[in-house]
Amino acid sequence: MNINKQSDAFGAKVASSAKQQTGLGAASSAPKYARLFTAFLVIVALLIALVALGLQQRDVELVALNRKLAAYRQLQNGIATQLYNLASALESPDQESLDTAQRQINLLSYDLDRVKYVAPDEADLLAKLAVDHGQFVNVMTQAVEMAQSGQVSQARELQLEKATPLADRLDRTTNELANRAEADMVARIDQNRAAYDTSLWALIGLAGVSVALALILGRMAGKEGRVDGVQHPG
Amino acid sequence: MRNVRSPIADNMRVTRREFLRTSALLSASAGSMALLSACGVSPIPPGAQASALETTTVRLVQATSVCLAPQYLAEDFLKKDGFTDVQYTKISPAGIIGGLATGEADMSMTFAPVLVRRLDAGDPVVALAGVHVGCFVLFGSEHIDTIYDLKGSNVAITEIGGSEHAFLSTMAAFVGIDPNKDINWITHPVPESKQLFIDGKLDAFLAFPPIAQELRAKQVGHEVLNSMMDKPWSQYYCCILAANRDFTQKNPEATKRVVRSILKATDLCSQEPERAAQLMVDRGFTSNYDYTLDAMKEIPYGVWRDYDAVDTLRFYALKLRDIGMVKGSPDEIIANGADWHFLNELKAELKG
Repeated sequence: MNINKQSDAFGAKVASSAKQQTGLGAASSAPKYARLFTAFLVIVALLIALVALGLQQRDVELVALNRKLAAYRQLQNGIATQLYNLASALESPDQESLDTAQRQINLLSYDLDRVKYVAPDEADLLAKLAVDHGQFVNVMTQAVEMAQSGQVSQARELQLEKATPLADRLDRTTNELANRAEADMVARIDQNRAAYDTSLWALIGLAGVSVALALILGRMAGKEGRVDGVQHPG
Repeated sequence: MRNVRSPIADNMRVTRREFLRTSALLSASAGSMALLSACGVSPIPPGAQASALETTTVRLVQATSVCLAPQYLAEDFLKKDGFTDVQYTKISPAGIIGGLATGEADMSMTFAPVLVRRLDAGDPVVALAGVHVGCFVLFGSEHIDTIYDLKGSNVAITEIGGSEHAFLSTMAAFVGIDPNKDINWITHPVPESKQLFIDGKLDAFLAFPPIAQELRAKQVGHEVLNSMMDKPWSQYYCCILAANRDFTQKNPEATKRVVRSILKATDLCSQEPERAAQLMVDRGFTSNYDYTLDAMKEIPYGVWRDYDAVDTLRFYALKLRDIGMVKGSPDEIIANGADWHFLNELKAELKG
């Protein structure tokens, strides 16, 4: 039995030595390391993609905040323009300019709709804005109607005493929305900066681990080759 | 059957003398309530429960600016609300927050951007309510017509980081000037700065009441910016009521009553400016009735129910961060440095 076992072991060594000599061993271990290396690269690529996707998501949030700011500024501009248009129309109250003023007052609701669309999360301020906006449109319409019926001085009084304070309140509320959006942007930028720093350190760590792992793999491969070389009987 | 008198009934028996005493006390209470009501002090509204006052002493700040009128005129309301010792600690406007942080004073109105800076730095103070919008006026010499003209000019301030510096820096940054590089800041005490400006040795001077009213009356320089009327400054509080954090935590009921008294005094300034100005002169907080009256009439004291103090802190935090004068985000500064629950409770109680 012992003689048989010894002869089997010797046979295996000879076969291994033969594979080493003909390069067959190298050929079979090379794909193994290549596969390991490829898997490792895939993991690294996935991690980098994950970080990149995270940052991209933050970019999308910043774009949304920019969109909000643009809508707020558009509403403010619309309100200021309407006040100016009405004042101009009351200076020379002919039918055409009053009709134009009335039509443009109605257009202002589009700006408010836009704000509602881009900032659904600001329910408290939007509700306040909607109430003031409704009152503003009513007062402005009333002023135009007064001017159309010849009561121009009363229309001017209404504009001065009611429409202007309402426009100021709308302006203030819109500024508050804009300040909130800007503060959110600042917070996002801070988060981005922190995320970038974290990602950078993660990447540096990953690179370090990769180099270490490559060195270990290389060393293991070299060691295995040397061991095989020593075991070679010739 | 024997008629047994219960001990409760025994206790409830009232002698004629006791009845008369109780009636007299009730009449006196009713009279006091009517008197307080006539003095503008509302009794505690139905449903609201008054907790015990933790302290009957409060230390407020006395500074040179008369825009702090509500806290000077709050004394009467405080005394009617249970405080027996109302002290005024003399502190320069620049040192108000420092005085609150160190516990030298318990509560005071203070300038919003300075408060934001100190909250960002972690001072143990807390913002409680917005009091009034605007009060400062930027005066320029003949060379200064706009804020942009401040670029390269000599501007006097009390100290770097103080109220004038913070307000002017935000104004400069708002129009694209770098206040750290483009303006020559010269530090002087306020009376010296005022004199230098009158003598034509300064390009611009940021004046607070009553100096702003005095310069206008004497026609010195011209107004470049009036924070009581010019946007965006007129949309935000200039002065915010702040307190030592420890004081508010240990004395919540006292804090609420001080806030209430100061807000009632704010209404007094808005509704009766002549009376407010006269009281300020009579009590030695200022010497010139006319300038004080102008300030009382001009400063928008009647807006504290409508304007949002949170937004003021957010606005100044954003602007100061742009120029590197604060590091934290606006939301962090507000979350860590403000407590609006006293104000919110009082808004319901003190409906205008």
